[in-house]
Amino acid sequence: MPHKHTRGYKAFWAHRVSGLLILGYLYLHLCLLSAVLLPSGSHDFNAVAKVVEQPIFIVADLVLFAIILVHVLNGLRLIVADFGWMIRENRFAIWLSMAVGAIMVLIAVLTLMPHLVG
Amino acid sequence: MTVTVRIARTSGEQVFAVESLAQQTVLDALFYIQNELDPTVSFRCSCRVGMCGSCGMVINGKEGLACRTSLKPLGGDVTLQPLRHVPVIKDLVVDMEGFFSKYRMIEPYLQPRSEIVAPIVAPLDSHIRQEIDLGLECISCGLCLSACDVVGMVPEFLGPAALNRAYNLIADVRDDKTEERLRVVGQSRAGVWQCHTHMSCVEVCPKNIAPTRAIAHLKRTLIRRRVVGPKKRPIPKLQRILQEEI
Amino acid sequence: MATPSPVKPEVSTARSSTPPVSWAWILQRFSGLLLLVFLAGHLWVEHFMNARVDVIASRLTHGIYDTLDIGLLIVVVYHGLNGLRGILKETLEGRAVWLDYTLSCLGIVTVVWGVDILWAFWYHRPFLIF
Ligand code: HEM
Ligand code: HEM
Ligand code: FES
Repeated sequence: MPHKHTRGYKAFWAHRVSGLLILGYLYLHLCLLSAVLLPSGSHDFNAVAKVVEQPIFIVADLVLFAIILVHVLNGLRLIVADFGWMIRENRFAIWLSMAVGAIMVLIAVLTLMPHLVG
Repeated sequence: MTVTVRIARTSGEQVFAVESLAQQTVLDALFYIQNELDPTVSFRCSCRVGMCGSCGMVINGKEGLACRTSLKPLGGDVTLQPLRHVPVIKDLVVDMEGFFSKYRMIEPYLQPRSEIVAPIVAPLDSHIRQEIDLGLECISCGLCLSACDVVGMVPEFLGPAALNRAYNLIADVRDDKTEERLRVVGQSRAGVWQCHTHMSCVEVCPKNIAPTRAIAHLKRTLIRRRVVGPKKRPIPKLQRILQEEI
Repeated sequence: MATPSPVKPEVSTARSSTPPVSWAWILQRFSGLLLLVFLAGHLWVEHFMNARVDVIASRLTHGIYDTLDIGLLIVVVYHGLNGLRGILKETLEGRAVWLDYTLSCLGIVTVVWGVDILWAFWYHRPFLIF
């Protein structure tokens, strides 16, 4: 029978994977910024802006936002635990941080809705 | 109630059908199997009331004491596996040497300060005693070591039980070996910095200890020592408490 | 008769070296908390302010945005690579000093690259290096 992993263990992997994904995004981000600005490049941020206003990029943006929230809220929970707080309540603390994240993503979706439905 | 018990034996998985009463425990089922069905099934136990710490195993994927786990909430299907992160000797019996050698590294006994010349007791309701009270309950069953996935990733990590014990002795003002113990628990791969705060140890501990809290406390103690130096350790205060009691 | 004191006068317990701390561990928390400020600021600025290149460039003439960008750049590179170092150290045996050198170089190169990008924003002209 496979081991029944605790919620804290799953949260740990979510934290690790999201951290690495954001690190990957950072390099993508820098590549994009320099591609726009290269002498051979367009120098035209407005053209890029048109591209990234397509719904698919807005969705990607929301996914990125969600990944960042997973890492940030989990990271804050870990720092709180380093002070010895919310340790017995850890399962609740994980639930709470992810609920806060879900609400923030929801707000972001609602704000970006006009761009999504065109 | 008929319960199907699957045991991960050294020779492979074996399934037993056990007739059980509602209030029986996993350990009762194991005794039934050994007495009535197959006398070669091996497991450990001693006290049968959750105080010796010898019957630890993985029950339906989660660490537990066989003698403190009722069959009823497990439903009709029970899978028993030996503890993780320690070598299996036979069936559900594991070699706990790896667990106790980590314990030994922190010298898990009180080594009184030289100025203490007579036995000195921390009264039950004193702050000093309450700080270490719960941690003292440890029965060294090894469930936390088995549940800790950091031990799985980094085998030299001292693990929750040893670090919890180290914290107890460091928090005890009567102990003289604070510096030495901190030097052991502060190591980079074996020590507290390796803990990733999964808190799996907190979830499985049959005595409700929170080793993660002890580990967090050790990290802060180490940092405080580096930044502001050692805290003054108030033996005279303990003496005052003691004499008020008398 | 008074109870004999169980305690002798306090003796000095000063010892030579302080028990070890992990600076990588401490700085990972501090940089994480700093990132909370920088990243929130960055996402706010990029989403709720106009993102045309001239707007960005004019924005960057205000010191506050430079500080935000460079601060974010340095802290995020440190935090991300220090996190990666922790993960790799966990799986590698021994001290793996080469790993520290490699990641430090990668970090410095990344920060220089990022500053170079901002340079192009500031002066409306091609990069210095890349
Ligand atoms: C904005 C607030 C952030 C906070 C509060 C934060 C907090 C933390 C904390 C506390 C850890 C240590 C986890 C552990 O020891 O298990 C950590 C690890 C890490 N962080 Fe962050 N972080 C933040 C942002 C970021 C960003 C933007 C990135 C990407 C560049 C990132 C990448 C990483 C990586 C790769 C790790 C290592 C993960 C591991 O060891 O499993 N973090 N973070
Ligand atoms: C999806 C939302 C994001 C958008 C639209 C965005 C957009 C931009 C833009 C337009 C710039 C150019 C400089 C400026 O405007 O001040 C910039 C710079 C920067 N961004 Fe982002 N960004 C986003 C998310 C992120 C994330 C998640 C990170 C962290 C991993 C990040 C890290 C940086 C850094 C470090 C710089 C400075 C670049 C440099 O020094 O060359 N950004 N971003
Ligand atoms: S038999 Fe002693 S703890 Fe279970």
